[in-house]
Amino acid sequence: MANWKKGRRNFLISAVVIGGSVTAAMQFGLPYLRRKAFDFLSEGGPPGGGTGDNPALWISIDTDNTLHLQVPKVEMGQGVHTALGQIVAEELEVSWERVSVSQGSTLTGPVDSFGTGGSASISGLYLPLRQLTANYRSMLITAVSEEAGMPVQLSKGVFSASGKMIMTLAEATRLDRDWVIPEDDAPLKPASEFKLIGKSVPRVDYLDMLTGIPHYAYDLKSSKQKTYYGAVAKPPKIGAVLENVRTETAKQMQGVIEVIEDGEFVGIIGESRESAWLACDALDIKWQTAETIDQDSLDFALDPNAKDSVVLKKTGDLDFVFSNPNTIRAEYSTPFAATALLEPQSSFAELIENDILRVRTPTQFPNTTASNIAKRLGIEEHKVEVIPTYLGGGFGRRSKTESAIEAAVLAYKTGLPVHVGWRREDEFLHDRFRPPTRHILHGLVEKSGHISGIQHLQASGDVLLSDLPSIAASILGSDFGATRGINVAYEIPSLELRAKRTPLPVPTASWRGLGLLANTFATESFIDELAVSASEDPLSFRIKHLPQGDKIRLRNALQRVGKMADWNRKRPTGTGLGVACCQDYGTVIAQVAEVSVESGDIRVLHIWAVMDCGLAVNPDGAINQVEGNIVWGLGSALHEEITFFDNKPLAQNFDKYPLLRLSETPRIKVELIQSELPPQGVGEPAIGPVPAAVANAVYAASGKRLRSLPLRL
Amino acid sequence: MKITINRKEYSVNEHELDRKLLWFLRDELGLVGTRYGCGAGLCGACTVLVDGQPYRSCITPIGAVADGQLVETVEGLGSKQKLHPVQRAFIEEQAPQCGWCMSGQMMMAVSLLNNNPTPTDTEIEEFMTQNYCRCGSYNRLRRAVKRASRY
Ligand code: FES
Ligand code: FES
Repeated sequence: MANWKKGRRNFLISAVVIGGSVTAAMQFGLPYLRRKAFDFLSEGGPPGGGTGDNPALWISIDTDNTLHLQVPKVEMGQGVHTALGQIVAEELEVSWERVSVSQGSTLTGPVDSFGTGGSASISGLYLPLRQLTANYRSMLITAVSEEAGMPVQLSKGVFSASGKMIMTLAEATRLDRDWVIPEDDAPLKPASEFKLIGKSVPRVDYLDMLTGIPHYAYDLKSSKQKTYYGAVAKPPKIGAVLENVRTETAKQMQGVIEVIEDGEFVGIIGESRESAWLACDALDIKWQTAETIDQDSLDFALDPNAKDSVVLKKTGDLDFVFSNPNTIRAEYSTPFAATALLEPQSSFAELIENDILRVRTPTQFPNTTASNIAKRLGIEEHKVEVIPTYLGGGFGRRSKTESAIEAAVLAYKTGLPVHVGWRREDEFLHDRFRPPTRHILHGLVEKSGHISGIQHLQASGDVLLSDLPSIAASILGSDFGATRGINVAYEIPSLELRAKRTPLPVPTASWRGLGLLANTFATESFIDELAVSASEDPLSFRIKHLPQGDKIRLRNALQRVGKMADWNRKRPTGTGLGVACCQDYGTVIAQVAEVSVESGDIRVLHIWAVMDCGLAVNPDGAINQVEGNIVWGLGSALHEEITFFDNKPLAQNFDKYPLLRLSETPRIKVELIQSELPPQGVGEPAIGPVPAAVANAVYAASGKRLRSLPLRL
Repeated sequence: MKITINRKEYSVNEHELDRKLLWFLRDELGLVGTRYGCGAGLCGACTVLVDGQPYRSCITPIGAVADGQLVETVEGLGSKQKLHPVQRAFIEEQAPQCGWCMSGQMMMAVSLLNNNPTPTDTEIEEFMTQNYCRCGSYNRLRRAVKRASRY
């Protein structure tokens, strides 16, 4: 296709807060600005990216009339390729069997300056991508109508007029003419005519996955020549720096092709993966350790009471809460956790034609990865192509892919195609951990049974700030990743939320849902404590604090999950129900856990969940995400904890960091409330309420209130 | 020496007998459907069948299976055109999320059903719990194995 007009629409969402902030800060003062920033960031949600206005970058139709969609969003099991396929096939009238979806790269396909994360892909692209496709459809219909000399319709990939077939979609896209993007947007297909959006169509990507066809980064090798394997020395302790290295022994080892030294970088290229690993372990390196890191010093660092914590929200006055003898005070905490994705990271780099270094890597942020590689090698960015692979799990860990740089350096320095795969031990030692949190809450329930005030003081390690320019940290003061989910959905006259950002000496970053799990654990456990203190039923107590109006969706979800769980039915002694809920951007979710407590063991028997995520493009896919989140949440509730000793996490493999197993997984029932809203996030919200629902159920079953994760009786 | 994988014979050098089967399959033979998760026998992602029994290939030396045993990997189950009933059931239940654990899960399911074509829910639970799924598809894995047992 030729003659595309460009750049009509622009979805630049970049540094809204950071960019506009400096002047606003001078005008209104920093505290004001910080509260505004919190409102913006907790309601707006992360950017999902735009489409640009050139359909040819996204859509092509093969000669056999198959719709081929190339997308910038990365698939990591969340079903984004399937959902994007549904959106385009819907607007272009293609049946589901005729849809294929593939991954674009940083040099081909649509541009996506953001990346994949924050449960924002579908919510961000739903309307822009429909519009792009609808415009394309209208261009095609105009073209075929002109060709046929009469108005035509498009259905099931075929254009026809008065029941007679004129041509296929494939033929229409190949018409020799000037294609001009219409000035005005074409009308979108009305929802009442949807055949694919809102339907549980099967995932597009299962066949390769389940038949062993290379699909993931760890599976890759050169298609043209022998592939070499790389391994790069990494500090044996966090914070250690390479002082000097002797490579003689490693060089002599069997299967070693080359040893690359470049400043602090020492890497091996080997004939086989194992020979590279062995030689890498045999490098004689002197490491210099900086400060000592152990668990006590880390625990001590978090102080929710810190005077310089940042006010995120303040409504009403709280003095009456602190002076009242009936005020409830409680402290909660959550530990470090590992990301522990099942596929260890790996990358494959090779030089291709035109001196382009092609790096296939499991990244959620391809553009950042490409520019980091270019910077590291001192080459121009357009000389680096990053092709994101299918990810064996993402969950925030793939916001940074260290192996991409490792493979890039080795391949660039030697000209060889190199695959660098991390070992499980590397993953644990060099993880970017979920930071620990501490929470102090005060709250008061009046005689009327209504909460009159809550104060939540939170301290957390960094989630997002450590990766942003330091100007962002000094303006924001708190970490908007760490405070995700701290907002309280209930109507409470006096409310104060404060956060103390605490950079820690071990790397902490995104972990599924960011702060959502920790903050919801604290808030929703505390709401339960308040309900109990007022001898109120925890479910109706919550519902009562969600008046009609904009809280109606959460209220409905709670009511419905109560029915599913048969909330009022008495359970046997030693068994109890707990409820918890949260709002995460535009998605609300309520859950009930049924737990039995027997001889010191917590056993989760059932979880019921009701989620309202607006229109679910693929309901079964959304339910799959909720189930997965529940399992993650249970892992955190029952097992997951990283502790440090001597600058290392104690866990180096799954023996010391058990994940939740199938036999520990309760019966899970999920229902969706299909609402009128456009699609909202589904990849993370459901993780929020899980630990609180379980802890509240443990209380109901045993009378024991557990306030730190993992829950231990 | 010879090793039989998916009914095909491959030769292995004497000095390779200590090498772990996982990396031989993946990097040498290109049978990358057998996945790596921990390298320590803890997660089950690398499960293959040896004479019908599940083996964790990341801790199994080639030498241990080069004595006439029959090794089966996911590539031997079925092709895109002709799926194995277990593969079909996994798709029908839309079980996978990221999918990295799924070859191992399917090999476990095949071995369970070979030895016990009509397992009870508890039997499925006890057998399948040996493998991790980080994405948490457990609810669907239960259903998928049950469904496969009915085909
Ligand atoms: S990779 Fe073999 S059990 Fe984990
Ligand atoms: S589907 Fe991702 S680990 Fe099982």
